[in-house]
Amino acid sequence: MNFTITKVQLFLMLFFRSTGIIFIGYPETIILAGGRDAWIIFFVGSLIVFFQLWIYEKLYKYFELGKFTAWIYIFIWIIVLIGSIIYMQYNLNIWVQQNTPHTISLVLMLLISFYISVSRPSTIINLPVFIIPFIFIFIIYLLFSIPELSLNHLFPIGTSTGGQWMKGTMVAMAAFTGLEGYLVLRKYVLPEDKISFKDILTFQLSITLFIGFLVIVTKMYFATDALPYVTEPILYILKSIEVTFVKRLDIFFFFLWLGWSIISFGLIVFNIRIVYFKQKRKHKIWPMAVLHLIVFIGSVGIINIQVMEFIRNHFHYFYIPTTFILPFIIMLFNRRRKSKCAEL
Amino acid sequence: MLQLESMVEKLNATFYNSVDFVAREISFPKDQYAILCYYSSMANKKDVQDIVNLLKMQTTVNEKEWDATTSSQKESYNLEKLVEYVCQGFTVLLLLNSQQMVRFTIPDLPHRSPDEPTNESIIRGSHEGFVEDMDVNLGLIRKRMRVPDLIVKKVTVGTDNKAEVYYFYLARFANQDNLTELERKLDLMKDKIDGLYTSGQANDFIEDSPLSPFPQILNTERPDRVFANLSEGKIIIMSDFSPNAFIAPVTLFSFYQSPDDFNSRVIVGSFYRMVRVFSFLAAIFLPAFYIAVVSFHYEVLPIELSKKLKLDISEIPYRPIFEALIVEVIIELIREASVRLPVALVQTIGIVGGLVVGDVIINAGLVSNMVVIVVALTAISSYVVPSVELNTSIRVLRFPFMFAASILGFFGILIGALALVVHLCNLNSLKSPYLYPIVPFDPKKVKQILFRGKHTKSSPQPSSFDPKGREI
Repeated sequence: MNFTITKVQLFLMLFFRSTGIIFIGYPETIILAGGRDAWIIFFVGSLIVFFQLWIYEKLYKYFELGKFTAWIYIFIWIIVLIGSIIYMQYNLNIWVQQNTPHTISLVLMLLISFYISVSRPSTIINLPVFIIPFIFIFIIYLLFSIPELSLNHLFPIGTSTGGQWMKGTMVAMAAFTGLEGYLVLRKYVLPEDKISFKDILTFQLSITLFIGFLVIVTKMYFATDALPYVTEPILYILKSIEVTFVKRLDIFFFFLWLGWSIISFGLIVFNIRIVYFKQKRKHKIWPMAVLHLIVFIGSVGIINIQVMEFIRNHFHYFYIPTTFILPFIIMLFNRRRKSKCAEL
Repeated sequence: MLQLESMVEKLNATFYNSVDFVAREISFPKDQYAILCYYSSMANKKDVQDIVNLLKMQTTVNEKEWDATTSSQKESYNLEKLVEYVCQGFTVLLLLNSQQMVRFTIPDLPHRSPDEPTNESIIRGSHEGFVEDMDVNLGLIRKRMRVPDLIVKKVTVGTDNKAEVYYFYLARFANQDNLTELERKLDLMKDKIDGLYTSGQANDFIEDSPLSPFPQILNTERPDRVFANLSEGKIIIMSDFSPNAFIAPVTLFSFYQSPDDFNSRVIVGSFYRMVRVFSFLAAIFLPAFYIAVVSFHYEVLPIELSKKLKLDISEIPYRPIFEALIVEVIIELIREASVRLPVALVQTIGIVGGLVVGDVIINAGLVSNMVVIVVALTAISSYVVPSVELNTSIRVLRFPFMFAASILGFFGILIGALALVVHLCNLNSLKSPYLYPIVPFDPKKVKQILFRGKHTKSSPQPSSFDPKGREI
């Protein structure tokens, strides 16, 4: 595929790819894993990811996928797609569309994703821009919950055990799932758009502040013991906020989340598209149709609460192999191979 | 040497003995025999006589350059060319001895005076508008743009009526890719079209996606708008029989800008620009939102409002989609009738439609009060757009959203909205991105969608979807 992006577009895509699907349920997962210090654990996890991103920037030139590694990534992303669409569909059924058959809503969401995937690259690259104004509206409305927040739920700190810190850090880093997209997209950034330490810091700060804000608000709103009974705490908070002109704010923000998630879904498909079409393939419609069919078949038969719980409890295990181990093996292997070639 | 009488007969026969065709023999000093041909309906007889007299006089004074006047041109006789010139409104003087012909005088075709266009009126600023005469129109533009690099080119289109299509641009700003694309499309139009009867036909050929509901060419009758767009590197396309100027490439947001933005103060201009952009959302989504709320999501409304609404619609015997459709169809009928009726009767239609029908259908229990409010607000929002084409597109677009909302509620609206956004992202106008500055994303320019700054320098539209093509 032939396209270029600016660094702003790269960071926007990464922001929406990482935050998209998880942000309504993520605070509960990290608080349950990390205990009272969960919010501190999240910031520590974010710091680790920042250094990871910085190393990515230093080594991205060596991230070249061969046929085998490309298919490994495509397989992983398809699993992520199936998990994501199940999560979206499940929440849609739980929150608003109880009577709509899930095949219909699945097909509609996948059709939109398919339409995005067969459009020109600039479409998906710039789609996140449409969400930007809604982020501010979302944050402003969440701020309406300030009178209900309690500092007692945050302090005292230092009560989490070593095990909670270990698991919590893993979950904290999982908030940045999809970071491998940086390596896939980095080489398409305009050469004159240099990415500096400050750029990476700004990006990491903005994503950390956004998710950190959600974690802190959730932590301050709910007692830790009450959280296991609340699956999507952010939506619950929005549901409890009273404004004069709307009674159920959560419904509007649920659809904002769903739109955001469909775009995030499209960004994962875009990663697949880049990796797949790097092999000089010509036809884009059929492979994309097959991909969406696989996701449909993979998801339609297994939507139930057990699968949902499994996804929620295990999604963080994806982070370390996909964004840490595999990319570093590929980059270090290629680096070593190139230096050997240079020596010869 | 051509024979005088047989030539007159031949010319009359060529023009099918049309009563307004004149083929008159005159005495001419240089050649003795000459025939003057023209359409009396297209030429000013006094001008013709003046130039003939001038040529006669010049022949006796200066034998070499006797044909040199500001409005005449000499060439060898060619019947096909002669027919073409006469059809274009020129007068041709055919010299029989030397087998030459001189065409002269510009055509004197009927046209209006350059009044303000009725569908693009503004409060402050120029009140001139284009007319159905290309020379007058070009004069209106050149009056504002006194530079030599305003290039005007012409192509003849249509085998049936040989319409002339002009395109012009500023050489220092226009993008070569856009220009090449337009010329390719005009060439295609030349080959494919039989006759250009209305300017809308050209739209179908010039637009990149004629099947899209969104216009990709801005249509205006205002010379000041054309001037502003020329400075932004746009290309203008006009025909010699229509006052409409087509501007391309354009973005969706160009349709929401009006010369009034810059005629009023910065804050006021920005405010109204914002109002117009938000009217786009209201015009498309408001009826769909109403249908989704009353059909699926009652719980989003405060209890007081929800109760009132329930009471109001509980008497209506059918689903909200049909209720909304009834009012929408009535509004469309009133609008269409007011366009076709004589101006004097439009007010009557407004009263009959707005007051009588509106009041009666509510009293008859066919629709609720709320749906009338919603549809009226939607109609007003759609008329805020300063472009007729986009206005009509938006009115059509709200119907699919209404159906989607009636089937799936907010989820239907979300799916429709995403499809609409993706479609808009994919659109291009003369291969340039239609949704700039969102696609490709240019953070520095995004604020111009809602705010108008102090106007100092025009900036051209990028011609590529890739950020590297942003600089022109």
